[in-house]
Amino acid sequence: MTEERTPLETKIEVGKLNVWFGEHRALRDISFSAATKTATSLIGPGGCGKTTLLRALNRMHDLNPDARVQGSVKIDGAEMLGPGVDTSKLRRVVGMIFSTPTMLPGTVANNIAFGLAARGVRNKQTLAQACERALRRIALWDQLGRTLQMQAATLPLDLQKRVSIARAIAIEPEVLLVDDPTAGLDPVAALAVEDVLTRLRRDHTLIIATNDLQQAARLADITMFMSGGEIVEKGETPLLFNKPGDLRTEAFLAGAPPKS
Amino acid sequence: MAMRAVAAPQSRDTLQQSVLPWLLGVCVAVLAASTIFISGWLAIKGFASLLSPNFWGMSGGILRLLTATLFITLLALPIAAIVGGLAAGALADERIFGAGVRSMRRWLTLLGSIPTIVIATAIVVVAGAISWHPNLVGASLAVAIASTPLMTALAASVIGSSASPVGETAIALGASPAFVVLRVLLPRAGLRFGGAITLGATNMIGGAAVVAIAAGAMAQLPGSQDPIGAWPFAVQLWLQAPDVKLYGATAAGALVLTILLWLVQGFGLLRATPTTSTESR
Repeated sequence: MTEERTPLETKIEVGKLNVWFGEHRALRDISFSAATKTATSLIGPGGCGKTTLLRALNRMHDLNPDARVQGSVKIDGAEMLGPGVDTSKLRRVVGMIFSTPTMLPGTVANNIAFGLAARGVRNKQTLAQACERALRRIALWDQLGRTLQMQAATLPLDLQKRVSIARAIAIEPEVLLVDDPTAGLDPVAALAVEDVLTRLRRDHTLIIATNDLQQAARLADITMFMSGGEIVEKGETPLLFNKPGDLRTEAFLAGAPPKS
Repeated sequence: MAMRAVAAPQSRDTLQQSVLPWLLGVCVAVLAASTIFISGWLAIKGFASLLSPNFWGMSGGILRLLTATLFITLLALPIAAIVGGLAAGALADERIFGAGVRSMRRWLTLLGSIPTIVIATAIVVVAGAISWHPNLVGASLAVAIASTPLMTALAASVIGSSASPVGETAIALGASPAFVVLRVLLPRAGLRFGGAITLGATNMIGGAAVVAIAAGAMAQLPGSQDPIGAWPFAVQLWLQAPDVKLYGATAAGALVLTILLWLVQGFGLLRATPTTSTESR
């Protein structure tokens, strides 16, 4: 957070977003905006709707027949929740890194180039170059370049996590949704993943859902505290952490159990 | 003690690794031998006879039934496997294709639980009622139709077991549902998909034999005694065949097949035996 960055135009604008799973209302009138090439973190107790919000932004809830989404999600001013939106294209603009790094069948190279292959790129050289570019961008070429022909599923968890990040950025999305990026990792591996995310902040708009408050403080320009499917408080990260304006935020940051 | 507990499963794995290629080799050899001798018989009778309505009236005893069963299975298998595999792909993940697939999957599972032999018999009965006398191709299509629900249900369960997180990951990378099925779900299902097809095929053979018999290929054994099991069947065929050149090799094939089946069953029991491995880490 030490580097000086000029305020940029709004990248994502969310208005009155509601998500239901059957009768259960998981998100309640969520409204916020995120500027281009900034990092926004979502913090809050488990089940507060962080992941649900992330998945609504690139329409992953479309895959769940029980889910119903209402409201507005605009990317660069264009509405994304409408019926005529090509969701495959949307997901190339708004990429997602899941908390569990599921490896696709095949090699590490196949995994990293998957998004491009899905877009119809067949040229092996182009795909190989995209792999290398993605890994170099996050400074992992030296570490993962040798593993490209290994079966991705055989890699240890921390490397799978980094492969999943490289895979997501290989399609060069403008927005990256990151769900609990260091879940299940040891502190050293977690810091390495954080380092990767710090590099990504230069070129992408990041929305990060995390359960690690220190990580949110280190990574995010803006932090939003969520509880019960609502945004309780949103503000610049240092301000929100040092002077929370809501008692619920203060209690959460102090480690008090959430009131039912 | 811990070392011993770990060592036993490892040696069993080694045994399986060394036995499995041999079993597969024997299986391939039996299939090849059967195919060669049936092909020889067909060469004598003329390959065109396969498509002739007179096929059912030809001489050849048990070979005619075996040939018909083999032909029907070989033609019906790829049809049912391809149609079933594609249908299973479409049913793979309700989160990709919508809620309608749930009820379809339930109905399909129900339909797939009916033995192929029952559906095939029903088709033959209906064919008889409407005076349709199928040749081998028609019989193959009937068996393919009869086997498709089972093939679909088997393939769907195999694909579905690995669909959700993987399919979701691929979709999040901008892949279309068709791309996800072809490039992710089917390759991931891998050997299990092959296993499902094999299971469907073994089920299909029974249906194929019934359809072949119903269509006219009577099982005319060369001897007067009826076989009770595969072993006496093979021995009788070997000993009582009036024409050793014609029947002898098939009998030998049946004998090898019987032994192979025993080995496979034994191997399956060995695998199914619960192991109590103790990780010493």
